[in-house]
Amino acid sequence: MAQSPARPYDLILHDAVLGSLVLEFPPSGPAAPARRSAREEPALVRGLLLAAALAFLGLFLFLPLAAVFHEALKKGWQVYLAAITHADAYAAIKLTLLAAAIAVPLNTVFGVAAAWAIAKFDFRGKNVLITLIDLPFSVSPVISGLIYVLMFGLQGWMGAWLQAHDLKIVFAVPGIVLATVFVTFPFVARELIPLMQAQGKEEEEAAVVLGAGGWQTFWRVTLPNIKWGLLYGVILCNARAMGEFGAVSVVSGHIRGETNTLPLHIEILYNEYQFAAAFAVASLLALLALVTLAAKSFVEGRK
Amino acid sequence: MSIQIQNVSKSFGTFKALDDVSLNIEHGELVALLSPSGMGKTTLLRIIAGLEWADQGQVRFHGEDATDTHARDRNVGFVFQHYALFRHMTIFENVAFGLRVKKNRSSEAEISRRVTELLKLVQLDWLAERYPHQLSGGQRQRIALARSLAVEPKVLLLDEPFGALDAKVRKELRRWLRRLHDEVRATTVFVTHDQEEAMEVADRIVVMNQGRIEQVGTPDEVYQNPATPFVYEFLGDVNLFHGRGYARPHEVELFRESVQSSIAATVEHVAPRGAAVRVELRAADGGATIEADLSREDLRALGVVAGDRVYVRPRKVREFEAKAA
Amino acid sequence: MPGLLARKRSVLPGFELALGFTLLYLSLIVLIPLSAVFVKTFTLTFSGFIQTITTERVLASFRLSFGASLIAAAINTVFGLVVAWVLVRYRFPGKKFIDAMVDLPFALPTAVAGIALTAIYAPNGWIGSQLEPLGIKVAFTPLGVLVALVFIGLPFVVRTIQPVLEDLEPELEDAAATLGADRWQTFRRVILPAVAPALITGFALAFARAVGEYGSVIFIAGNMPMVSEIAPLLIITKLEQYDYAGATAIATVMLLASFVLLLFINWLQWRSRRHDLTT
Repeated sequence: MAQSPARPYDLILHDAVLGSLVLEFPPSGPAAPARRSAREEPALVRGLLLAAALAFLGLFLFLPLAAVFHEALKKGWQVYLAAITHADAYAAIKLTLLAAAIAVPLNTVFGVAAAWAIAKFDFRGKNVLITLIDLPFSVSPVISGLIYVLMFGLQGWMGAWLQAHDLKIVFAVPGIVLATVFVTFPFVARELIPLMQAQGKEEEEAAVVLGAGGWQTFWRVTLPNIKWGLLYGVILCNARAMGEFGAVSVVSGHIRGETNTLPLHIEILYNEYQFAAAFAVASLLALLALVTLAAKSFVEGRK
Repeated sequence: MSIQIQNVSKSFGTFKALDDVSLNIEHGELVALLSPSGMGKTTLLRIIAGLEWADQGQVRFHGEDATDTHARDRNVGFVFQHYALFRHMTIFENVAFGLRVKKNRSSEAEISRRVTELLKLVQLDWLAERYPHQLSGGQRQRIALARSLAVEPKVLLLDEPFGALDAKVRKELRRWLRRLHDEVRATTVFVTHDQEEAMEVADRIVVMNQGRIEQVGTPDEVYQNPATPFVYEFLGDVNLFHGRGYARPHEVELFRESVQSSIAATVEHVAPRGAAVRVELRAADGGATIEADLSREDLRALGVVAGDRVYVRPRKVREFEAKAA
Repeated sequence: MPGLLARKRSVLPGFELALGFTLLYLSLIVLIPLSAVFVKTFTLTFSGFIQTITTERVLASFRLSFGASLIAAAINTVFGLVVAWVLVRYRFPGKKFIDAMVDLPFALPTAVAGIALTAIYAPNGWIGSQLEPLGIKVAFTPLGVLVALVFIGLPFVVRTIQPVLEDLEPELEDAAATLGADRWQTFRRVILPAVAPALITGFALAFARAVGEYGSVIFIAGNMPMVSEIAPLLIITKLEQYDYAGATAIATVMLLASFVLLLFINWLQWRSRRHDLTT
């Protein structure tokens, strides 16, 4: 052996001018030890961590997803198709789409307005405002429905007035829409506020000095800069709007064919032990979830 | 268009950015606002542009009060420190922006002609279809300038235009700006903390400190006849003798033997600096640092090295009146 | 006198419009309805309020909701760190797909998750049938509640830790290695402290989400009072019995917990931002 066995490693000065040092492990036996970067765990640890992560995800993510489709198709295609083309299912789909079609645009306009005010101007209480906007995110869905029952239910604040005018909000479609608006309230704003704060206001100032008016500045300068963040927020907002269960459950009257969204319809089918039908309808929402994830991935790459 | 700034003050909370600033800028001048970083000069520029409002005082353009005129109607060109190019538009679209948002837009052909003309002026017409992130810092700066010139402003304002660029690009762009100004002849005000830049480019320099104007004058005037110690110190290296007398390094002489009115000092360091040599000394009495610039021949004639004892005397000394309270 | 018009906030337009609309919408949709809970609760006297929320059944539901959420968030914190680590540091086939799937609990409607989990852990389900002979019941027990809460909290920890891990300077670990630390020491002394704030934030987010969760839990829990009844379900039960005051009393407690958590989380994030700016 050329190297002295007493020294565990050799320092090799590559080049006096470059002055770089290289640590090398000399072969100390028949086979040299595997080289690995200073920043890597031993292979065994890596394997274990990877296995643990995949097992955890497999158990908690993929298994439930697989179960949805498995249970949906358990009784065969005919039962599946019958379930998703049933009149009640159609009504539920329509109501779900309606709630989303109202909630998403409203909350998008709100999100843009809030982000504009917060990101481009200075005023006191900004952090309080941001925290307030986050409120629906942290409130239990059941409470999100409860508050509208308290306001518009028969015993609620406006209950008597509504009854006198023969208007129904709770246990009717308007209540469902309201609850959906509430639970999806912050999604677009949460996406746009940090984005627009990071982008600053210099481009808008430049546009103004160049002679642009208010709307011109917004359409030509701001909107193109935020379009991917906006789309991302809309996608998340929509997914939540269509999938909301707890809040809608409280305000709906669970009236079949009238005040049931897709998630509520699933619940009804399930409670009647029509499992295959319940999972069939659920699979529609699961597919929507997968589409949402795909869209999210796509937009994330562009942001 | 001339600019009159009258008694302008502006505070941000407790920080007074501008303190009773008054200034007259002649039509067609190229003026530099010079001061160390963060001392209110950008604020003054933004007030002229209409991006901020003064707490007190007025800004007039050619005698007319501009305080109630909105920024978009002031017809000033503003070049931001970090360019503020519209990241999602091509270079062409960036420069065309001011022409597109006008109330009485020109035809598409006319806009295209003007944009191409401007891009040729800044010698970047070949980049018209690129995006800002594909350009170097120096190129972005020139495009920002072209964009602001598109609307034919009467006044051009530049906020530390070369601050974010490296030294060589800075030097080139300085000369280029001077030539551009000579060609376009718009009243131009630019903000900088680099005294070399101000001296090289401007017709007149406004030296500011802590929100106040210390001196206004041509580069020669402020360098040869500084009004205050601050101006003197800011515009070049200084030595202070006996707590009162200022002298520049090249105004200081070294002797091997003691001569009249000279100070004993030890040579600490000899550093070649291009054509001259900078000698750093420490005064024997008190230990103050003295910097002397000698030509190479003079240094060789003197024959001093680090550690030698020498005698220092300023050829001439400038003293300032203490400021009245 | 010139300049009277000039005292505006900024040269950019639309401030009053944007802020006005924001505040109006916020008040109508969020603040006023939320206040209804507190107003209704005030119809109870303070002792009445305390009485309502300290009945055995209510306390049991709080214990379950908060307790299971705590444990679920803890599980998610540990495994979330492992998952985030693996996603950021290792390369393996299908990584991008798995990375995207981590958001499934975000995107999947809670009711769908609820029935799917129940199907798996019921005595005749894929996993339930394996555990049954061992005497372990998951579905229709508090354990089932725990499983559901782990599911919905999963992305919170992973997504909070990932960016922090991605931004870690590799030089730090190199430095530790050259100073003689082994991999575990480097992890414990260099990496863990750096991600600790994100871990805490992720934990708090997962906990907050779990406490109020309804849809994914309601199917797999047994919903038996005193045993496997979560607080949100109790609210609904009381509503159906027209015990509005009782329902709002429970809701008030949960809302207060939510606010405290929200403030805590915002404070954590503000603190970490401040730290970034000064380093």
